[in-house]
Amino acid sequence: MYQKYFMKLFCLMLFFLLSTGNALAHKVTVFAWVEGDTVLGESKFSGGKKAQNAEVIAWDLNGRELLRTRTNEKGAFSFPIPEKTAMRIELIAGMGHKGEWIIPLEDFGETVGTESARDKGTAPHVLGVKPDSEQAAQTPASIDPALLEAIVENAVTKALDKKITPLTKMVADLEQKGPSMNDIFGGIGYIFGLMGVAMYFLSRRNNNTL
Amino acid sequence: MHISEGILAAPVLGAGMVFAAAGTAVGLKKLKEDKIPQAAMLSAAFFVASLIHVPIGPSSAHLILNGILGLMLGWAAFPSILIALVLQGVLFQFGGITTLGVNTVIMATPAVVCYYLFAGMVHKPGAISYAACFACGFLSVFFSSLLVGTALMFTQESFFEVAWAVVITHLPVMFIEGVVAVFCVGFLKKVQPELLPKWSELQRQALVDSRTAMAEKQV
Repeated sequence: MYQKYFMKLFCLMLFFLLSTGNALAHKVTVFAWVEGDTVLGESKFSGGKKAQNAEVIAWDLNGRELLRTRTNEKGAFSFPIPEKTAMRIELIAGMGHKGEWIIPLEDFGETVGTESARDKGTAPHVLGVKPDSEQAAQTPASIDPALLEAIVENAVTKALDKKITPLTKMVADLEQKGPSMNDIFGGIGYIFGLMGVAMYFLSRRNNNTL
Repeated sequence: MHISEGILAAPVLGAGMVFAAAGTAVGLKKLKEDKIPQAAMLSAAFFVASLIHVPIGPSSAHLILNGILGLMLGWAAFPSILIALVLQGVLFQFGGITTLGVNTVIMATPAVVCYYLFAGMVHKPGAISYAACFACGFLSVFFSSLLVGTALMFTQESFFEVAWAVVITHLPVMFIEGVVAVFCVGFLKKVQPELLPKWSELQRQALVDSRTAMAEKQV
């Protein structure tokens, strides 16, 4: 009799576990990061589908709306930094689905810093090279240290951007991962544990009345 | 089907919590001792079913299984679904803690409705029983979609727009749930019909009689 129950339970569990393979979940996630002077982001339902044409709203942390945009067919969105402040990106995918992501102020601080350095860098570059380009070409060793610093910084930023972009993508993927086996088995365990607790108290009550 | 946090207004959330609490109280009262393991098993099935994703249609939808759960448990569907939703919220980040009440009402009310509509027909012979099971799986998701529309009506778009979108998204899910319900009940009817609802003493006697008759024949 009980063996039958267990066999059925086992079959049911097996069926569900096997069918969860590539199928994930039902929530929408957003991930956004800053690159240069734009905010890039992507979003998807954790079943793997992209959230297409969903509304994206950027708020600052005091709840002031900065701007609104929509995701494209690939579930991605981008907008220029409206203001150098920490912001909360909210994605409304309809039918009661909503996700959000917070970009801390440091992210902006860093890029805005390099931005300004880059700006400073280009200015002496233009000023320094153009008037006496012949001289600069003849004696490359005598480059103005400020100019050199600017060039190096520029190159490093570019190279770093190139290296970091795939990492950012990777973090985004990790961030949008569905529930793990631990979660699934943990949940099932909780439910049966609760059943055990209920049965325990009921059996105690029955013993007392006997 | 799970409504995320921060979408609904406070009165809707409050009403959802009140209804869910009332339903859960009734469910716990009606939950008989020997049904507890069954309720737990179905609760676990509901918990895991939400991970089975149906990749058809414009948006994402997953199995809900509230029809079969309601059919088997009746009012006890409320506590079962509530527990499963708490765990889904905590472990999978589906829905949320504040929307727990609303989500419970959305998924458990159709389950109870389907119980009253179809439980009496399960033990009918052949086609009627299967049709009832299919309708049970199908309609439970349909009613849930309507309830999602109702819940969102107070906050943003119009009822018809949202309800229509949810129904369209869940159409494949409805069919699958109907078929799943048919198979579940068909299997249980063969193997262990006393697990199904409205299993009367009379039918039990009939089954025992037929079994003894078969045993005698074999002897």
